[in-house]
Amino acid sequence: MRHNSQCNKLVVLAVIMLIPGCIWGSVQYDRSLGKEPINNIEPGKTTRENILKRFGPPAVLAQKEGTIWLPSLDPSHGKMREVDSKVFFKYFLQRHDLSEHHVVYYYFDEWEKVNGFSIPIGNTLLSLPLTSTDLQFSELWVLVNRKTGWVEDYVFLEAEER
Amino acid sequence: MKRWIVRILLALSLCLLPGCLTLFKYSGTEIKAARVAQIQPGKTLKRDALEWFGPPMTISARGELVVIPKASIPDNEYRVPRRPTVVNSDTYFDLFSSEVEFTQYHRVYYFYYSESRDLTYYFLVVQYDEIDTRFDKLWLLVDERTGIVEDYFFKEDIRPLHRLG
Repeated sequence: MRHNSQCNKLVVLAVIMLIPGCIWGSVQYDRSLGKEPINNIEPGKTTRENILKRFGPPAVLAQKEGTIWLPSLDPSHGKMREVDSKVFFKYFLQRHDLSEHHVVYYYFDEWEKVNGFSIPIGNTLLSLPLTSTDLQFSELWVLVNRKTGWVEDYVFLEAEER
Repeated sequence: MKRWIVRILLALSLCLLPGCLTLFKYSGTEIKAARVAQIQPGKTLKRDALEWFGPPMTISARGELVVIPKASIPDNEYRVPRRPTVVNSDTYFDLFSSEVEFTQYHRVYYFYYSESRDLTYYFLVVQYDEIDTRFDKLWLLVDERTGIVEDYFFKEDIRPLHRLG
């Protein structure tokens, strides 16, 4: 009788401990772009030096011709892929008469958004299958004329949530 | 009510108290702005810089692919596994291109220091977890033939790490 009572307690406690909890949050890695507005870049007024001072060296420095080796956007794979550098000029091809002096500085910020359910086991959390980790990107392309040193154009694509 | 039920409810209520946990992780050697200000382009020696800032994360010549290890951040089991970042060293040399004419002896020494904070807040069965990371980065242009630091570029991340709320 007493043994049954002990078992009941343990079962109730175990069930309570396994109540799934809700988890959400974010993981922010390197922030080249920061949270300040990008719109104070002024084509024809902002210089290449201004961009470098503000954001540091770009993730990619694309020349008009050639190919660039890039890591996969999915950081869990880590494979390199060869990309035509024209890809980085895609937003500027229609709007500018590009010369060999034009380069594109490409920056991005990435972070993870976590939503889901978990069960606390010991001091760790066991994620349930409904838990998702999404990678989010904000990206900035800056068209620079190296002969003049001016920024001639830029495109900023901000992720839905920052 | 049976006494054991009361005990369990009491234990449960203690478990459900809101709580907060903060973890820090660091990578690299701290880069002090005052020390960086002591660098004199064309005069400071490479060996002095190494003494001040420790071993660099990478040393690269022009046109090389540079593998940069990921900064250490607090672990949890739902995080996407991280691979090192790869960049072309020309992006580093570009920092100095308006000042210096490069030779085969030029190398860029890249240093970074990162501070990562994991702030977790527990309430009932809800957990909010936020990890933020800040970086200080330093690039030195070194002429290996002379052992002199010819230029430098410092990017200090002065913003505070996230605070809850």
